[in-house]
Amino acid sequence: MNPKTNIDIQTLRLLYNKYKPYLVPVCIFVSCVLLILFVIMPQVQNFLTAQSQEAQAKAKVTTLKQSIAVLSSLSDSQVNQNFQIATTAMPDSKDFAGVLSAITGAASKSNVTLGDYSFTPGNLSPGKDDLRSPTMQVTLTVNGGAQSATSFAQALLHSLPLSQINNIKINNSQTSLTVSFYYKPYPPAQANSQTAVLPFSIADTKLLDQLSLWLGQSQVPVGSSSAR
Amino acid sequence: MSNARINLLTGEHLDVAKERERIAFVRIVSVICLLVVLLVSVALFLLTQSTLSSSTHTQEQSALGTLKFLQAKEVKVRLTHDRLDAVLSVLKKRNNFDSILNTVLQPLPADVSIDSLEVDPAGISILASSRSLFSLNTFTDALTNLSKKRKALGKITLNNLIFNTQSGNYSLSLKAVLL
Repeated sequence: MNPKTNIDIQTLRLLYNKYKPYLVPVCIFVSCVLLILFVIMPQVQNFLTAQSQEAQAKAKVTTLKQSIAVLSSLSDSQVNQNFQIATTAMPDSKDFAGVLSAITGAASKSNVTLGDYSFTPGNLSPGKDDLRSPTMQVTLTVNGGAQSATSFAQALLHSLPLSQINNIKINNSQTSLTVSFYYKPYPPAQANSQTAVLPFSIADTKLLDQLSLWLGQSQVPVGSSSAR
Repeated sequence: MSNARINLLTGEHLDVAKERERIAFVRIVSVICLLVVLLVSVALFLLTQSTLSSSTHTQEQSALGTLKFLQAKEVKVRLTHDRLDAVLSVLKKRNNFDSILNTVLQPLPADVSIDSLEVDPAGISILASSRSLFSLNTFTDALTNLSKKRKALGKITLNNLIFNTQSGNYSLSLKAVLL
């Protein structure tokens, strides 16, 4: 059984008088605790957030400045030329004209006559399923033996758009080849301030020079081919 | 006897003095606490404000403005890098059948003809014929040497060697694994 506690007004007054000098300091302490909990703690969080935002902003500014420096150092003509070479090597879609040009150019360069050829273009609608390096397959026949097939393969592999020979079948004086021509759809968003624009490295320049050479070798108008 | 040990107050007065001292101490500590809390709060506010109003934001806006004029160039450079990466990965992995054919056909004697040849990533199959068995042997030896030197060819299997009595031709069929 709980004993009843009886506090009358006189007792309260007595307690008040006894502890009166402590009342104000206790109130101040309580206020301090409340201030710490509801003012200082959120302020600390705000400060930390502001610091982190500032660091991010500084990193972004550095990235942007790097990008600006790189872009300013490149001439428009150089950028356009490199872009042209790179997109010819790896077009953004199935480049039928480019493929025909490469085949006829290779045939012309290797002095072989082309026989039948067929394209297996596959899906023609642009899809986001494969952004890596999809291919378009072409099956073609070359009139010529092993030597002609070799020189044709060599010429085709050194022309643009980039291709890969999957299979070569030489039968007396006829050669059939299965070739995959590469393409690569453009990525969804290119202007990205999160990463700096990189300058063209020595390896990039060498690769561009090689592609430029192959581009020069493979540029034969479709009409002037030795295709049948 | 030292002065500190001399106490002229009675016990009751001593308690009151101690109580006053305690109250004074508590008051001073509470005021100090309040001042510290206020100072910390003001300092944090000023620090946050100075962080937020720094010049970084202005620099960012200025850089973004400059980059806007170079956006077309930026897109082209980024796309060029993207294409070059893809080209490099293709060049690394693609089959160089032209060089394999060159390597295989280089030691081919003049009187040996290739009747059929098939090459794919799995391997190469050759059907060669000649009127001379010696020339076919030379060709086979050359291919075996390539295999020994681990140059383009791996394991070579001789499928058959046929002599056609009507034409007087020897036919050789072999298969090799590509390296």
